[in-house]
Amino acid sequence: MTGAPQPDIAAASAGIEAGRLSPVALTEQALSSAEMAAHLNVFITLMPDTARSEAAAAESRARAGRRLGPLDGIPIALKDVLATAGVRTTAGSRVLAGFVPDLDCPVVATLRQAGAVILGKTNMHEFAYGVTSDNPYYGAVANPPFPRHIVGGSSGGSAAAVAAGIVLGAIGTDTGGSIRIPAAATGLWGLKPTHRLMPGEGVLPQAWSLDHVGPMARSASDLRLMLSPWQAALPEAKRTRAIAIPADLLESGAPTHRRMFESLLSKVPSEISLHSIRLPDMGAAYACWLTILLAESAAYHATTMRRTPDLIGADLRPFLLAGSLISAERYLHAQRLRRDWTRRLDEALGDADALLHPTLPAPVPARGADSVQIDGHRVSLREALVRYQWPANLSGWPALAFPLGAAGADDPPFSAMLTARPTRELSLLDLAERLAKAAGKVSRTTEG
Amino acid sequence: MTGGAPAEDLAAALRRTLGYSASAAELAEVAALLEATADLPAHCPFTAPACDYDPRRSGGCEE
Repeated sequence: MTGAPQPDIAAASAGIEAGRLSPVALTEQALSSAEMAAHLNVFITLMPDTARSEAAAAESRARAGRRLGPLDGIPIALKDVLATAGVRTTAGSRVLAGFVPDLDCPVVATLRQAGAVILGKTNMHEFAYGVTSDNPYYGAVANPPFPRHIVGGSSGGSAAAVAAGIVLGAIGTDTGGSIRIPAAATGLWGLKPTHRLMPGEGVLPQAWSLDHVGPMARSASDLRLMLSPWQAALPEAKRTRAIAIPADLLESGAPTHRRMFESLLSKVPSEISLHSIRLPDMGAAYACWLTILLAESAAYHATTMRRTPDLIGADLRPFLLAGSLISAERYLHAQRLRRDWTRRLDEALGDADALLHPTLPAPVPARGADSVQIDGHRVSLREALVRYQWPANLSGWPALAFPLGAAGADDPPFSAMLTARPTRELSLLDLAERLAKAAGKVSRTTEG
Repeated sequence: MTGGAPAEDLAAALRRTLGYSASAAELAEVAALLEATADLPAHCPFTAPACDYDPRRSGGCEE
């Protein structure tokens, strides 16, 4: 960790409101922590000048009793795919190393209107196309609380910035788990909201119809506050009475990890009923997701691949090559079948309010690992970590990764994932809090 | 093009579409990725336009 621990968003906001805490001091502490943590490769671009002026403005508003809301004066970080006026936005790439947008994207504009202090742009997997955040140009992002493990990706810098205590919240993006995987690896709460609840305009795409913008923070209450500028579009939380457990997903995970999850299920409060279900036609649905991912990302990068392919990292080039060979017919079939699959997912969920399963099919891998052992099979890191993520990107439904119980000395806490029907984010957050409270500590293992 | 295509066909298609000369290792990865999309059904059961996707509506095309 870096420097003195930061308060959570709710406590910081209450402190600012009461005049006990200075946004300027909070921001100076965050900047100092970021400089101390330079070796962790968390940020691509720090924004000290604008952060200081935003903090000073927030302090003036607080003194005048005119705060803009709970985020006013709170230091946050942005994944370096969100366009920021006058500040380079690289997507972790060499291609866009000098790209300086003229405008803030709508998500950034909304956060500024809410008074958030933007500390900087965070490091990430190149063009969001990977799960480790090992960036060849801006350095490999470390996992501050659990340095023996990968930080996850692609929003690894955003997770690390929060987990290191530099900022109180961060924004990431998620096309196949890029918020939820790093949240699980660092012991954070990460929310992939309903598709386009937080608008995607001005966010450099991986695959625009699968991309989601969302917050990462240290608790459910902090996520609610990070979500507050968009909360008007959401219904109030409803008390969950039934949860569906997707048996087919669990069967594709590591047995020891599955047993840890089953020990959690035994602690679910008795007023919540549990139903085992099978998700519809997962083979075709995965092919849908992958077809859309490959085709859209190939379309976005086509000009670069024709003119200067060497500027794109070798690990993501095969994806763009494969996508260039997908026909328009197959892409359009995939988009149509996506709707049908989502309708069948809704039917499979039945009377249940949410789906619950582990965030990952196995424990968080060690740093440097390129594969994961699952039930005697060696699975590539990317395939393993994405395995439980893509359904919520295909459906566009909100999905929340959250920690259960305490972390081990060197290991992140067990992370579970809840998914619900569109716009049920607030119900998910309430339910996750209830489950985390009921679960207490889940015993740990590092075996696959 | 699908994952079952021979490597030389993939290489020719990449030269044609992107002017890109893929290595043997890249061709193997491309073939594996395309193979992983092979479970996509060949026909869509619906006739609604594909461009009106809105995931906030949970229903299917017939809605």
